[in-house]
Amino acid sequence: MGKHKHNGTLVCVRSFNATPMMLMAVLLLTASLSNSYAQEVLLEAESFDEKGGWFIDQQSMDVMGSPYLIAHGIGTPVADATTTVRFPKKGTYYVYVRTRNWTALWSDKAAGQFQLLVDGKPVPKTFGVSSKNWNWIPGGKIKINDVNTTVALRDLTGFDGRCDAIYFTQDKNSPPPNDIDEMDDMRVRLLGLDTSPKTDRYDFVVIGGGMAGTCAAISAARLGVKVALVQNRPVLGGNNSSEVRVHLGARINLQPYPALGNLVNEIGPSRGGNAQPKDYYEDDKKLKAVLAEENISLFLNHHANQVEMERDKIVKVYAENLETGEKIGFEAPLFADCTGDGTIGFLAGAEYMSGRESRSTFNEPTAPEVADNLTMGISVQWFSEKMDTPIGFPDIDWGLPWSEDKSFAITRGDWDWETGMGKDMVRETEFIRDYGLLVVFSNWSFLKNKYSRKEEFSSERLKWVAYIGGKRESRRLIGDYILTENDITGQNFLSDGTAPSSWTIDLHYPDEENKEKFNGAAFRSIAKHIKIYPYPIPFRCLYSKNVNNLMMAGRDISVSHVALGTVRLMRTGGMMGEVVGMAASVCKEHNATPRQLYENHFSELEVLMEQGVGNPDLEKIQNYNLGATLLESERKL
Amino acid sequence: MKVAQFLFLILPCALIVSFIGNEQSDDLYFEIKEIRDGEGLLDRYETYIRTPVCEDDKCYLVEIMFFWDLMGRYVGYDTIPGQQLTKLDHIPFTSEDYQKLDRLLKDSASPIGKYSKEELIKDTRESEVDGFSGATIQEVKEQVVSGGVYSCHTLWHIAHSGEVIDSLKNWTKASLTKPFVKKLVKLDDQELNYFLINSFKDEEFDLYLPEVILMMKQAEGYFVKNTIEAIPSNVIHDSLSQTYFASEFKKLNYFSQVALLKKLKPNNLILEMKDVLHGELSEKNSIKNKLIHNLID
Repeated sequence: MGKHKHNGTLVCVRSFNATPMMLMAVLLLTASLSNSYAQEVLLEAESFDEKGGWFIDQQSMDVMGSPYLIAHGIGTPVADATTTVRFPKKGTYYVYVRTRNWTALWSDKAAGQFQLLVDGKPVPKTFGVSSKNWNWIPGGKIKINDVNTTVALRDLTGFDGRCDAIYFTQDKNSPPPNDIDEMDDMRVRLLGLDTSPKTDRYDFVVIGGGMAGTCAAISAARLGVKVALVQNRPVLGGNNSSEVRVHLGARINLQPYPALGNLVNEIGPSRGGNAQPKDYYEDDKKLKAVLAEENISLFLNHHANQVEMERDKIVKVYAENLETGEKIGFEAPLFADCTGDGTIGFLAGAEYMSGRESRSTFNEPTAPEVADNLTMGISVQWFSEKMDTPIGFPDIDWGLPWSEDKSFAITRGDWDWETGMGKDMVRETEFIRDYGLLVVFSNWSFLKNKYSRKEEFSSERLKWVAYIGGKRESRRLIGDYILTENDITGQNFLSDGTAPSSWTIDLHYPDEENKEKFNGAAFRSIAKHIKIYPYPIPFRCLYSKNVNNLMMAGRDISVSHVALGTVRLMRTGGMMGEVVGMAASVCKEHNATPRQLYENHFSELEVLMEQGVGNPDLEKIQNYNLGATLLESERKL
Repeated sequence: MKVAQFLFLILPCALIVSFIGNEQSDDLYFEIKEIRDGEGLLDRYETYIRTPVCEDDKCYLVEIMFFWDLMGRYVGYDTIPGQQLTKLDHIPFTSEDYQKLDRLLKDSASPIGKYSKEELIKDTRESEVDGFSGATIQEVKEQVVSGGVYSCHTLWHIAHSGEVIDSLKNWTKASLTKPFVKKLVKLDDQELNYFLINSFKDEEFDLYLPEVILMMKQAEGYFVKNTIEAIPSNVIHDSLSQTYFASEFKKLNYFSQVALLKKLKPNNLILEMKDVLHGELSEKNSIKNKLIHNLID
């Protein structure tokens, strides 16, 4: 566990090992509380002391109720996850494992199989094979001979088996509940979770540690604002982290505020390229930049999923520690939703849009005649590496039916391995990501085992496949202004313009040929571009119209679907973060809401935007993936 | 990557750029000439290139005409009558090959610019370490004429040589005169317009003010803001300039307005400008309002 010095106190930078204290919290002898309960133990997989080769996946926790462990071994079983459990007493227990067979939606075979080992011995049942939905699967009866017993998850396939939790009970007829709310109650009861969590107070709480949130936090901190940055992954950077591996795109240091982007330049990676080796994404550079700020308290591995409101203001946001389930409260006069999904706005009742607006909604030429739910998709990128000697890959029996004409004889899957368009980007994240995994594995297994020129791939090893999906679009929170295509193409520059969006209006659609070949479920996409002049995003797009102390930066700002096509690029999101951080300092100074800033103090934000918060003297390294604009010339200063 | 060596000689009337390329020790030499229009104003540049290109120990002669515009942007080529381009083994270019060459040369952003000749024919795998996938080189291969990879590479690097572009721009810049600037402004070319405001010396803005105003009238994006920032303060306060800005003020975008307000000084405002500024005041807290107050209060 890393620790970060902060104003004389130590703030935990949540990392990666559970503590003995935590394990104590996991176990509770409920019989001592009430005789009506049996002897029971709830063990959250994500709380295991040693995760082995298993990863914590929180992407769907708001839907299925919890983070879980996933055995993402890319075809090679991962090392066991292990922990020591303190049972209330020796004796016979019935065991249940909350898991699912993720390939059951497409196949009668199971990709991700695993065993549960108690005291080194597998329980009779193999898991990950039966239920297509998350369910408590009975694992049979075990005998506990020692109250301190080792429990392990043993991956059998390396193909994304997953385990949420394990439940032991001495009562033969009491399987745990499947209902999410009842499960929450059970967690609180059995894990001893504090129902009135500790709350800390800040000037500004930023939820989401992608490029937008990270820049927002640093920007505010440098201007004297006490910030909490809450991120639900172990790393910062979001889509630009080594977990997703999308390179930064679009331009910085543009008119009308050339100093915006200096911070993006400062913390952004120096090399471009999608789906490249891990070190391209320089996770540490972003982390170090945040840790260098005395005014930032960083909470990695914390997922914010609850808000407390007072009329139209957020008073507190609560975030759950992904490993322990413990909640922390963050109290502040001002919040920024940099979650991408607009999670905080949604919880706070902020008005939002999703899908595509009809042409008549904003009179946008590029909008469809009729509104629909088609969004851009989630990318599951991958690449292989050439080895010195031939290497095999399992000839899987649970993949999609594949053939020569369906195969992609390539060694890298870039952004256009994109799927889920038309699905619910928030509620169906697990399904969309899983379909992305399924097609990557189906294609690769075919190339390695059945392809007519398979010898060309014989020494290729599937090195990396994302298990964190790269999401482009979900909820767009509505602000006092909704930016549309016509504003941008008509160069309707508004006086509250801030960070300039320079990428094309770049909207993605399912690749029709691919869609046809795969029964309507495309996993390859195409992009359509409209070049623009850099357009300064109005400040009124960066705060919620009806949650009065909530700002946004990143893809969840107040734009139409079409306008999202340009503003969604990460360098642009980073600059929005710079602006939102500056705005936080002005709001703090005047005890003002973002709307009051716009109405009464905007000149101060203009001055800050002219000054910038990033180091202007650093070498300009953000020279890759700039994208085409109509502005190909500039004045030499 | 081996960088070709260039050497320039500039002569009046017939501009000669002497280009010496050091590719496998073969020096490449050519002269670039300026072409003038009927009015005697500079119009474009052309050159006749004649160079042997060697591929796998076999050499063939490349003879071709190249054209660049006044900004040093490659605009096209022409063949020499009776001198077909040839590929390996002296097979003549087909019409598809010529079209392919044309497409390649007109693609100033072609990835071919990033690779040396040697890299183009390497095992594509080896290049993955620098962040470009094997597929990218494959893409380059698809852009070039099969059997004529080296000549395509040599010609592209001449067409888009930074040194050639810079020298041609400098030549254009040195040739600026009132009638020539008038002609250039009519072309309504954004890059050219930026080139002009970047080229004018402070004392020249006065001379070219009518042309500068014309460029602003037809401009998009941030050209007006950038131009205002480039114009010296005394020229901004010139009555022609102030009259123009006073009449156009409402049409300028916010950021151009702010740039102008930052340039103006309270003691030098003409009446029309003062009236406009009074009318622009609002209750809103903005830099614009603050600047206007500083000018008229």
